[in-house]
Amino acid sequence: MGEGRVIRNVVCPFCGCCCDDIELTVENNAIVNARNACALSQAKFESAREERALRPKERADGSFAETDYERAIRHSAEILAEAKYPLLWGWSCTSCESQRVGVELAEEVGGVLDNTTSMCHGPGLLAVHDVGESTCTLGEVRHRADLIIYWGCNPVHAHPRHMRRYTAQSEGRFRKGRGERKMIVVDVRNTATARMADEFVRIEPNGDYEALAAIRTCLKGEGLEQEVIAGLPSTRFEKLADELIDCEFGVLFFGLGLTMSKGKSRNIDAALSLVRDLNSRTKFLAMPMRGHFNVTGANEVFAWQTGYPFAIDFSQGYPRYNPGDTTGVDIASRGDCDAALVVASDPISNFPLEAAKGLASVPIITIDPHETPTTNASEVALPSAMVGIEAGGTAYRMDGVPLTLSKVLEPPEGVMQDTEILSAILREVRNVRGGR
Amino acid sequence: MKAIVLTGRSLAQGRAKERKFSEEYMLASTACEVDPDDLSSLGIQAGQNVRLVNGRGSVVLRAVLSSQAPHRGMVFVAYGPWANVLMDPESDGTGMPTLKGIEVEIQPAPGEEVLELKDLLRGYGLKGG
Repeated sequence: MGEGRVIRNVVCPFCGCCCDDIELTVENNAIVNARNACALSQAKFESAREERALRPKERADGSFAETDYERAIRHSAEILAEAKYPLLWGWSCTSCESQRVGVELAEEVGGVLDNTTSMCHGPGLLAVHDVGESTCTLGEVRHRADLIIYWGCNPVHAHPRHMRRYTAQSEGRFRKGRGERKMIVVDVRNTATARMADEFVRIEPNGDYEALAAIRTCLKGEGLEQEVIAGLPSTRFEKLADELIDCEFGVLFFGLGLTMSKGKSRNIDAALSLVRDLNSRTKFLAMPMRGHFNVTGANEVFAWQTGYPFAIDFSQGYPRYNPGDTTGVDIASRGDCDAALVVASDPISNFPLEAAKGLASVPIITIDPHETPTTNASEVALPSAMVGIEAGGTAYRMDGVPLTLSKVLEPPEGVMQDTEILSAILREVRNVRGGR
Repeated sequence: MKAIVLTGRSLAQGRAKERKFSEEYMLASTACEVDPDDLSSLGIQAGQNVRLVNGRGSVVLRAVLSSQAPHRGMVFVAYGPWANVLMDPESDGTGMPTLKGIEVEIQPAPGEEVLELKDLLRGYGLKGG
């Protein structure tokens, strides 16, 4: 056993917090300790070598057998070059450098480029198009916020260090800690996060829009006609509106409880409108609790390359954007795509069954470090190095701050990086198409 | 008993999500968190199985006592292929399928088995098993 090498200030490649203070101890090209890591981060780092795919596989003559990268890349390029409407899906657990190649590839093959945003905060981005967004960095929250609201999210389970590093429990320059901040949780269950709050506002399921609209009505000084709103007495919303106005620097963090429930984009529309209204009375900001560590990066890269953050359709030769039509789940459910390239994602597990069946009915090419139901359903599966552990690059934190990912381990022997694989497929697609 | 299903991230599911064929992932993704009073109404104990059924599908899960009660008429299941059997792909023009607030019928199923991931997928004719 060799002596451990300690690597400091590693950015965690799990959730959108992208905590950049992780200290890893590496022995014999394996991570043996992850200091400062939350339970999610620790599991990712310390089990990095489990359930790994080590050799490319392709389906031929009824079997799914190992092959080499050259053949697998050629096979992938032929599928994509042949397809009339391929879906290029995933992109949130890889680097911005890979995402950039993905845009070029999608344009080359005339496909639809969608990232997992459309299954997390896509409705939120639709609302941002309509309403705009008053926001800030997490550093500003840490130093200045005296009121934190978590609405429809449970960071204790999904973003375990969010409160300690950036919000209620953090120590900032002007707000020293928990005693100088109020925390309110709005949710449908008494979650672990709700139990840590100063106030828990329990609304009924699918009552978010109603609740947000009630607070906005109170802010405008108009009376509420109903006695019960979203399962609560209307007086509760009058009190809540007063509390929001009384803060000096408030932040509304919202989660998938808003985007996945009835109303979807309209719930976020109401939340962002509430924050906009509050800014006529005090300082108030909003931020989505982004899930995958580089889903924000996917939005940034796709938007600066094409003008749109997700759901980009290149089939007409130029980028078109029509969420609800050009989004992954809709395309798969309708059976519109005739091939798919999946990068660092597992849609066979994550899509509703009907959409997963639609996707599985076409040839899939998967680039992923692990064996998953999607790699097993693929025509071609290309193993890749784990981004943020075995490959470096750039990722965007949930507040839009870019951070540098570290390479702390060598990938398993012979395993290529996402960026290399995608670049090779792009070259080969051009060869295939040029040869016709 | 009628109920609505919420899906979401749980710490246990998040820890195992990159090891899809592990026992840890299966345990985390097949736990159905039920309100204690609803468990009594169903006439079963924590640890026994329940079947969730709606117009889209049917799946057997393991009932566990919710630590986030009271939430009568509502159950929580972590994101994953088991819960996705019941989910609605309709995105209402947003791209986002409906993954929270799905209506189901819950039935006691103490004699039925929770399927392993490969068997679940094969049962639906998916190659990913």
